[in-house]
Amino acid sequence: MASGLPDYYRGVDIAYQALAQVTNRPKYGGALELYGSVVVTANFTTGLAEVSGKGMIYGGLVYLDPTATQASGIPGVIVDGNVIAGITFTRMNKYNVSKSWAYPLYLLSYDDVNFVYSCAASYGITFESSFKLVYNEAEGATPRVYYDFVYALI
Amino acid sequence: MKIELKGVVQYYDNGHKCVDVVVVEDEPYNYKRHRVGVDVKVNPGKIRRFLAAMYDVPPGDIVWPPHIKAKDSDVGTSLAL
Repeated sequence: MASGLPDYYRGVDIAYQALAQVTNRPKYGGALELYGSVVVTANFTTGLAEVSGKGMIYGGLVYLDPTATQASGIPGVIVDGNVIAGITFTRMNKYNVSKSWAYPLYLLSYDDVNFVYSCAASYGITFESSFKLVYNEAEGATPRVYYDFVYALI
Repeated sequence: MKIELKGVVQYYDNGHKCVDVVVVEDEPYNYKRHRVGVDVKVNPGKIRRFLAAMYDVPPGDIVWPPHIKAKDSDVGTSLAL
C-alpha cells in the first residue's frame, strides 16, 4: 500500500541547493519611537534614554536649544554597555563628520554663533541587550537636549 | 495567551522618567508598547506584575528573554563615566 507524500511533493533540499535564492531577515517588530528632552547638568554626562532589549536603531536626532555655546558638547551612544560614539560637535564640524554611516552619530548642523547644534544617528546600529543615549556637557551650561530616535526590537 | 517581553524602555522627558515595556502576544504577533509608569523604579518583579495585571495572566506566564535586564536606569541624572 502506498504511503508517504505524493511523488510530486518535494521538500526543500538545502544541500541540493533546490532554491535559487533564499531571503533571510530577522523578525523585527514594528518601528518604535523614543523621544523626549532633558535639561542636562553642567560639566557632567547626563543619561537621556535607555532601551533594554535586542534590536536595531533605524535613525535618530539629537538637537539642542540654542541658548549657549555647546561646541565642546558630546552626544553619545552606549550599546550593550560599550561607548560606540562620542565626539564633540567641534570635532565633528572640523573633520566634516557629516555623512551617514561614517560614524554612529554624524553632524547635521553646527553654528557656534547662533548656537545651533544637531546630529543624527546612522541606520543599522544593532544592540544585543541595550542601547543608551547620553550627553556630555562641557561648557558649564545647562542646555535642554532633545532626542528623537526610531528603532525596532527583535 | 502567551506574552513575551521584548524590551524595557526608560527615558527622561520634561523632568520625569518614563518607563514603558514592549511586548508581543502570541496571536496576533504584534508588538505593543505600554506605559508602566512615570518616575517609578524599575525591577523585574514590578514589570512582571504590571504585565500580569494588564493581560490577566499569572506572572510566571510572562516569557522573559534572558538578555533583557529590568534594572533601574540613571537617565535624567548625571553619570560618572
